[in-house]
Amino acid sequence: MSNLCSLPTLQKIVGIEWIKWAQSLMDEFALQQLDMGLEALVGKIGMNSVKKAYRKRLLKEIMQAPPYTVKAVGITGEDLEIPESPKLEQFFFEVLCLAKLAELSDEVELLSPGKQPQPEAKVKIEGYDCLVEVKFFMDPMMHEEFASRPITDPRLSGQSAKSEQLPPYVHLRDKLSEAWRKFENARNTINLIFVCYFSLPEVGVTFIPALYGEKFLRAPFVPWEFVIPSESELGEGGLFAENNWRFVSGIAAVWAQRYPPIPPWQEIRWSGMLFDNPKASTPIPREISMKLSKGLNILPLKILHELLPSKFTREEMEELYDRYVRSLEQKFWGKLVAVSRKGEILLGDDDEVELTRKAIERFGKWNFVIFRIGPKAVVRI
Amino acid sequence: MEFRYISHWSKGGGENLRVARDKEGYLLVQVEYRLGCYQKQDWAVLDTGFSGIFCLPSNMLNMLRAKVGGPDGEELVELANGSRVGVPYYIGSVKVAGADQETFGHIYLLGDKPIVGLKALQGLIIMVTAEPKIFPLMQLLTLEMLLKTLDP
Repeated sequence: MSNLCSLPTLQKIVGIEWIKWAQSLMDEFALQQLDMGLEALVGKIGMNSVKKAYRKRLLKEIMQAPPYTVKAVGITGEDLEIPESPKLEQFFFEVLCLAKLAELSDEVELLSPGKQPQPEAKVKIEGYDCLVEVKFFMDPMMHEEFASRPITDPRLSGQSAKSEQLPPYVHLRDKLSEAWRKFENARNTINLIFVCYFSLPEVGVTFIPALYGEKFLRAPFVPWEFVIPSESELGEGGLFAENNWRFVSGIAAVWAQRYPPIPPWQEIRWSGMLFDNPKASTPIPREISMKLSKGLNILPLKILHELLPSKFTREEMEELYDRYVRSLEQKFWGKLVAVSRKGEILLGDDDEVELTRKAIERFGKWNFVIFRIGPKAVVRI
Repeated sequence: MEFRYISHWSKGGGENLRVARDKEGYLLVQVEYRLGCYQKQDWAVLDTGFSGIFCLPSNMLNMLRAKVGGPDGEELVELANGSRVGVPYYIGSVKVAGADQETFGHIYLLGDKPIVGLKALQGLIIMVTAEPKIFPLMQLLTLEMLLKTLDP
């Protein structure tokens, strides 16, 4: 049993009995993170506002959470039984996500649920008013017992099926389909949905087809090669193609990973990807994308070209190879070669670092491409 | 949020390398990587299908730009499905924790988790010394193979 004094904010909000009960349902690290998240919110908006927003929910969530443990092997090989509650984790993620956003924001207001559906919080980032809704997406294939539910598969003329039997993007779309309602009355704000993405498949087979349409499904997904579709290019099945979704400025897929990957954990590492809605009535301003990118380690797909300004397209690289390198195949098969935009050639042996340094010196950064003569690609991944 | 299992692998020479298995079934190995003056320890997926040294998640781009500047270049990379894509890279090095060798090469920005490749493992002899509860299938296979060799 841990030291109760290590959770001072939780103690002030819900009391020691709650903490004792929570310790049988969640591991110590998760509770400490929750405490730190709440403390950050208290620092920003005061204890009374945090209590008002979360006290009732903390009490309710813990009453409803089923006890559940995960078997694990500890760092010295000992057997561990770690309490875990996916339902509580969802709630914890919401708090941690809002606490993290609060760090990036000038102002924060936690919104209480009223008669009309409304998002979790209102924040001011870089001078813009933003409304924030937080969702949690758990892969039904990983947690069938918690996440399985009948959902409608649009591909089979509206037939209902178990979610784990459908492709990941169908159940992600189902999970998010009504989220726009929270922003129905918010026309002049930047409206963002943060989704904690806890799933095996990568975004190319989940978020991309769920938001932009099945025709954009990419596996594997390479962000450098993806261009956010324009309004007219959106696929029919994508949520962003629907008119109601114009209220939503964009969706951020967020990973919150415990680090290191084995207990005892020390920190939560944040990362993710930001998907802009091409049809949004209020698009996400560049300043907000950059702020989220730096603060939460989120890759903003729409402004990637700004981060990599002189990028070659794959077609340009293939063309450089065909024009200037193919003729060298017979004599230098397997060697590395750097080719500048103008077609100048620098031949190397097998040392990619030395060749890159020489090429940067001679052609300048980002003005050349390195190939392996023959296979074209330097490595296989 | 979930990584649960740990095992130990040993290296030729006796030192222990720490290896963990995550919930998705990937084997993770602890590494130290360096990009210019930026140095970090992390856990990476051990991928024998990757012929390079190291890959970092693509969403680290903005953070790395702030720490060490933009990538050093871009090149074609062949993916497991045979397709080729353009991927940015930094010049850097990676060292498997517990081993002495530091391997220099291109550190690519691709995918959503760090990956350590074959080139960084060259010269290391890695033997699995897992307990049955961690790799039961592997243990059974090994036992079966052993019995076959003993059978005249």
